[in-house]
Amino acid sequence: MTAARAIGGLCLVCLMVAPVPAFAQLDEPSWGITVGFAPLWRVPNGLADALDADELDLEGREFRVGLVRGTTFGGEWGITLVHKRLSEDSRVTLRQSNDVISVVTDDAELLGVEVHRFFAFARAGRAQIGVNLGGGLAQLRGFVTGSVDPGDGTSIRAPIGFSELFTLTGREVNVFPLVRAELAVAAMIGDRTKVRVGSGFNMPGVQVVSVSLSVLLGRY
Amino acid sequence: MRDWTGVGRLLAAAGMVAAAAATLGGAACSQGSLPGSPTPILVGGGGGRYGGTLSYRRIGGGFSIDESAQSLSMSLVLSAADQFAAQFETSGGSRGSLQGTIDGALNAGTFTATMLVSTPAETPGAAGGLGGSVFGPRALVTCEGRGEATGRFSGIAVTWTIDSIRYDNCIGLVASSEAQATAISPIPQAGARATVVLTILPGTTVSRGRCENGTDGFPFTVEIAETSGVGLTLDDTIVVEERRAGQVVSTRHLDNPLTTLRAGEKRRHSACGPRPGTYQAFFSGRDANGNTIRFASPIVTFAP
Repeated sequence: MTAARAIGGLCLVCLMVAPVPAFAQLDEPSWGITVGFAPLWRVPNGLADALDADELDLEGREFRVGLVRGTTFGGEWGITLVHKRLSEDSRVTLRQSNDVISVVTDDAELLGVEVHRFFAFARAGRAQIGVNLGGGLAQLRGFVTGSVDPGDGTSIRAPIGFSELFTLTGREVNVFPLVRAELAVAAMIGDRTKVRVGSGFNMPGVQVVSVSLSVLLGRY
Repeated sequence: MRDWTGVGRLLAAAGMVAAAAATLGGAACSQGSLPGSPTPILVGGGGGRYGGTLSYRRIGGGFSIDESAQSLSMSLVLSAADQFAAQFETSGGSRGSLQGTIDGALNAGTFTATMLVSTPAETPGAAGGLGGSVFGPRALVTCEGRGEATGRFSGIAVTWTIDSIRYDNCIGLVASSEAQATAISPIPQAGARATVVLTILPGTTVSRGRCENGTDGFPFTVEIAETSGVGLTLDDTIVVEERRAGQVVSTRHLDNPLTTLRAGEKRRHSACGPRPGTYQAFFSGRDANGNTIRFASPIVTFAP
């Protein structure tokens, strides 16, 4: 299992550092800045079993800012600071030995660093179609509220650390992996500005749409 | 206009007295020559360290325990106006905690408390009875017990008695206990074990109100603080004892949403009971040094 993960990680790194196809090398690579956001990502309820949860209703939004290096008509890679805020009514229901603990994410977030690479595999005029792959690590920050309501009127409401949510499921998670695999369309909206719209997997969830804006610095 | 000459003379005189005191200081600090009596240790404020004796008396069961008077070392912390928590250990290897409420103050008051105690004992052996088995040696075990203490704080002294300590894992063993101790320091001792102080806020008598889940009931806040600088991992179940009005005590297990208590950390959570009566919760866990830690809330009364 560990070897499979290592091989998978190695493949991801190879993909990121692999030279891009010649048709994308239309101008010199330069550094730039990027910002992006995803208005909604959601964890599929099908992953409830993976967390030993009865119910999994986790969603949130994402904001990214960072540096990129790439070409206007080719691909790019970059490193970004990623902030994923969980919505305040996200809920995980865990069946424990006696009762059900319901956890609501009042004030929880993931803050991490992610490396990504956008591979353009088709180009039409000022637009590109490609995949955006990325990976990184995030810190679990903030608090959630764990509630126990046995049903007879007795209740307990306890603010607990975000990472304790995983402890309740028997897992020790101090850093959270970030993985991204999006199908994306990028378009030049100026000489050096590129807008990219993507959709796909964005761990810990799936996003319908994410938008990023990259501005390459330097001379065209 | 003020007479500064008078002030100057006064300062000069004070300086001479201070210099004389400093000159005599070396001699005055020689062993056994302190003038007067040392200031007595006062009990009050946040708590204190106590030393004294504690004894057990077996009143049931085949286990044998040390019934001689054992020296007692105890640290006590006043956690709220009417609540305290104490950790103690004895020369006979017994250790435990007291969690209770005070009627009065640490220098003049009475208290009731729940004592959770680990007591070394010897198993009855295959043949049972005192004196060991004729078929084999007895085994040493640690019996985990619980009793309700009533006691008194008077000046620097504290005494308590427990009529009945029952041990969960040593079936049949019942013991009584009494202890007396005096304050030896106003500062509770820090140890290598986690010390957990559980406080019920705003107090142990709770009035009817609105619970956080929106229902009517008896809402209160539980504050759990670690005070020894040793973190602990909490077990996933809380044992709750309730005596609802006119009923016998019922015991049940609730899942514990709290998983850890870091060194020096203080955590709060809200709780609510639905009906008048009494409520008491028992927690357990293991600290960073591998010690089993048990602690209880004071008895909370839901006033009708």
